[in-house]
Amino acid sequence: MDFQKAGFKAGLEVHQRLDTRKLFCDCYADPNKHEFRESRRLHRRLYAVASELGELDPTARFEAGKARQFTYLVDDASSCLVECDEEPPHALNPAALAIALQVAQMLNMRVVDEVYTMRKQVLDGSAVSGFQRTTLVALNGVLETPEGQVPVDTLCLEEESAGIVETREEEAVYRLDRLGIPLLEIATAPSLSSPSHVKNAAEALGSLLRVTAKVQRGLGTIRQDLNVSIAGGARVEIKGAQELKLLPMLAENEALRQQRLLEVKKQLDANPVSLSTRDFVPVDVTELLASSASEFAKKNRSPSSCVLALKLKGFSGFFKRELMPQHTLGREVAGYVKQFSSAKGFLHSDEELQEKYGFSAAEVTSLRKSLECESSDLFALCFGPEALCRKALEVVFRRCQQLLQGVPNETRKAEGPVSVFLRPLPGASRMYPETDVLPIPITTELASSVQAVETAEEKKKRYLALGLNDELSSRMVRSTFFPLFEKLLSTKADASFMASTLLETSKALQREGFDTSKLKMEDWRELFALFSQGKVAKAAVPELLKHKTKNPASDFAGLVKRHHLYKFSWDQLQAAFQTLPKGLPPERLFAEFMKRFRLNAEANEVKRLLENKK
Amino acid sequence: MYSRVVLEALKKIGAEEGDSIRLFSPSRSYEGVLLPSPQEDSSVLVLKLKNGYNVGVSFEAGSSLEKLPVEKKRPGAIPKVVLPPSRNPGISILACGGTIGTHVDYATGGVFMSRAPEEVLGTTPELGAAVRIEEMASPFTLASEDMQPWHWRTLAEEAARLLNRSETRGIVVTHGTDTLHFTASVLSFMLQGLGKPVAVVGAQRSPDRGSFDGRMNLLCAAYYAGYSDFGEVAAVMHGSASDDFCYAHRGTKVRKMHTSARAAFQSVNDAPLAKIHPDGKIEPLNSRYRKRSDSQVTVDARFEEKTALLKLFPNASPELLDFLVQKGYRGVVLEAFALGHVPTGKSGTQMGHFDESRSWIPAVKRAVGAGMVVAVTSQSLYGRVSPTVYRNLRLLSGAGATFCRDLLPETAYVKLACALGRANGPAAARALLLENWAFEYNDRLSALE
Repeated sequence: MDFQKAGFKAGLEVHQRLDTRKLFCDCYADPNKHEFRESRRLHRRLYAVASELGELDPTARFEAGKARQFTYLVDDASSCLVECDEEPPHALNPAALAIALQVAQMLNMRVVDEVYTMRKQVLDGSAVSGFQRTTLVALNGVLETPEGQVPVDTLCLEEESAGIVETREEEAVYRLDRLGIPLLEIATAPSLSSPSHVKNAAEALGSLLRVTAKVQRGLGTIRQDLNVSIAGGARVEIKGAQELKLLPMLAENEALRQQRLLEVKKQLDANPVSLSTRDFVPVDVTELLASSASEFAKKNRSPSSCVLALKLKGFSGFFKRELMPQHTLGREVAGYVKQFSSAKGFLHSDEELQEKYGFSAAEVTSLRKSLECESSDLFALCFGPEALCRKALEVVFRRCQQLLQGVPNETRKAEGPVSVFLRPLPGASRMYPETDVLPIPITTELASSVQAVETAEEKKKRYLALGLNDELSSRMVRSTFFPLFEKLLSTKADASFMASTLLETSKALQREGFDTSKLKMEDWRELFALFSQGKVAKAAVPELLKHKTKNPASDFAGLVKRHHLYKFSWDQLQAAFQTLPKGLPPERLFAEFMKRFRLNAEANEVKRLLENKK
Repeated sequence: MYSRVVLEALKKIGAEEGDSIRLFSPSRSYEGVLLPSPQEDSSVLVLKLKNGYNVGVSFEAGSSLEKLPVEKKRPGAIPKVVLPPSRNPGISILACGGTIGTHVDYATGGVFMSRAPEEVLGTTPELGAAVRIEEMASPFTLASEDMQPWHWRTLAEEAARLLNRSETRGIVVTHGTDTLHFTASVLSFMLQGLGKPVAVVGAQRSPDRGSFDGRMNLLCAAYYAGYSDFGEVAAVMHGSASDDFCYAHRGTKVRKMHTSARAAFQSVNDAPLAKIHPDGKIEPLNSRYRKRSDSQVTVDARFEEKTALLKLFPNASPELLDFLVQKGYRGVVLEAFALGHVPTGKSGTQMGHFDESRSWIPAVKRAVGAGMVVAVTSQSLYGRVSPTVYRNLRLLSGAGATFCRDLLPETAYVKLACALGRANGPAAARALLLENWAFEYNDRLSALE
């Protein structure tokens, strides 16, 4: 696709969990580090409430229409009454605000003079209160990307949502540990010009956030939402891309989907179909399929269920069209059916009803006949309780009506490299002030107390100067180890050796089954101090790490002693030399010495010893 | 409120709250709808930006303002609520304010008392399927901490008027939660001959939230009023932290036991009257109650305003009691320690260290001697006070204090004020105080859960 020609425009919204206590209470949680233990559970319902115009927001109406019950699993170790919506919020966490100000500074943003916390209505159950608290901290910044500067619109602090455990028809179950963790939300302007630009911008933002060292790391701690539009299309938001490498594919596939939907519209404009309300005539075909041998029909048949069918005039073939790879218009429509109704037995005549679903040719013919379908018509079928089937067919019909308008504004959910419909795009009226929290003035003192953060480039430069090679420097900047590495520099041990031990040796050991991840900062500090004081040799370090993982209670000094892993002094080297077999040719001496005493001596010292012996 | 400088600058461009404005300064520019400032004398403009966020922007020297040609944001219209005709049991609603009767003005973000009683109905559409609303009245709306005796009298009169309509099966009073239990006691004592259920109901979360707890409370209150067999006043509130059921707590035995949780209201020294499910199921839990009847209600709204409630603490000076006597108070409820203790200086072996002037016994004698009724309740809340167990209790009793058994301090306050209002002299008031008017005394306490 020629993205420029297609009028491709994308914006990124990055959500990064901060490694501080929660935004509006004094709990701390990092779901990647702590096991969840259920202390209690709550059962709640959420109701849609009218917005300022006396109307319900489309998303709110959509979620409330589902009338589900929510169950919340509470771990008292990671959540309190605030998350349970049983206590007003505490004051906004100043540590989180400080990080936000720091990042705002790095993005050259304009910080507002007073920050106000808002409530954003959320009714899918992921916020116990029915809203997410969010605070706009800064505006109008600039992100440097290889393709040039990208305007950054906003930087907000907001509450992380509760994590979903299970969704059933009538109930969704959430865990509260994640709820309320501070999220830094950074939104770029919709000015990314191609899928690869999307990827580069996401990478640039990610590395900028990591250098603050105050962000949580690991699965789910950073999420990218994408909004994409093409000329003539619509702004579509895609949520929940967890893998950076999928972003460009998601962007490209969304552009493709919009392009294909525009083609469908063009075709429907050229050959008008009638989709007025009176064309919505569901027909009960339960009797027709009552004795069908189709496995699908059998599976979805019950005494209380029926089969409703709907003719869609002139639509034959349309549902087969591919909007994205492996994603036909039929599948797209099924996504709406899934979200708006809980009907499960949805089918249509563009599918292989006989080959795939086992309906007989006679059944298909009689279905067509009873619906008065011509060959150019399509029919949709739904199995299940009558009310559900009716709702499902209404959804299909409405979605087909939307085809005449082109691309609908909506929020979609990433599923691998493609996306499926999630909900309508929220209206603008979802936000109103959080009256329980006072505004915070960003005083000059507060703003100037924020320390300037070294950028990734500056950091890399410094690591190069410390003697790390180019690759090791780059890896350390991106690694979760860099805060530890920075602290270990005070041991004065060789920086490059420490970096490779942290990034390479420990990884290799983990592959062999030695879990070095449990080592604490003090352990590493002791190890490298022993090394920098000349008490152990380089080669002994991996061995010591192995022993340590098996005996976590012993300190390294003890392990050195117990396993004779101390480094030889000059005299000990001399003595060791004497133990070598006599009469070895001089060129074999070094290899033989190292074979025997590799763990106790450094090669350069052995070489010096051998030079002296000549 | 904005500072004078800001207000003058706004006046100059003819802008006020709700108008769209632009603020320029050499370094920046902001556009948004001007909102009221939540702070006093503020020079920080609160603007609602196009993206929905509010931000504060300092109006500093060198800034200039411009009014934008955008139509002013006005608060939303009052939603019209039609009371639908139905064959369901008829109830009436008295809306008195509180969190349950607030609405958020989304344009400004302020929380305000509802402008029409029907707004309460808008929050709970299920009511129409449960009951028929005969009448909605709102004699006043306020935050319940501002409740005064005249509000209580007015409320009792209004309640009686509605209860005496033959088609009304019961009434629901929507109320702020802070002093809801005081009002429940007031109605229990002032409504004479009550035979229909009166549910007093509130909310711990405001109706602007999806998690509004008042919706289930209101629905359960309507079931209590419309369907239950209790001819009593009850506080109907969440029974747990979940949205699964409410308790109907007897109006004289209920207390707010948590500042913010949904299940803040608890029955003390009595079982709740019933568990009420939002599907209308009513499970009675207490066999001791007045059955529903169609008797006529009268109001005895006499209430001695010179009544006080005083909490004891170690080192509390008896001057506090003398002060009340001087100020002409006719009754005081002491919220004493545990079984009813006050400092006497008559315990232990180190008598020399207790300053006699710290003993409350002489002060109580002085107060009783001056014609004041001194009632004793416990700050332990659970259990009863006793005039006999320890010597110090006997001293207090001997000084003329009236021990109010298992009465809650708040209920005792309301009861004493009513008793003083009705009685001719302190002896009669003391006798009335000890009568059981609305199951406020429970002679058979059960073990704590």
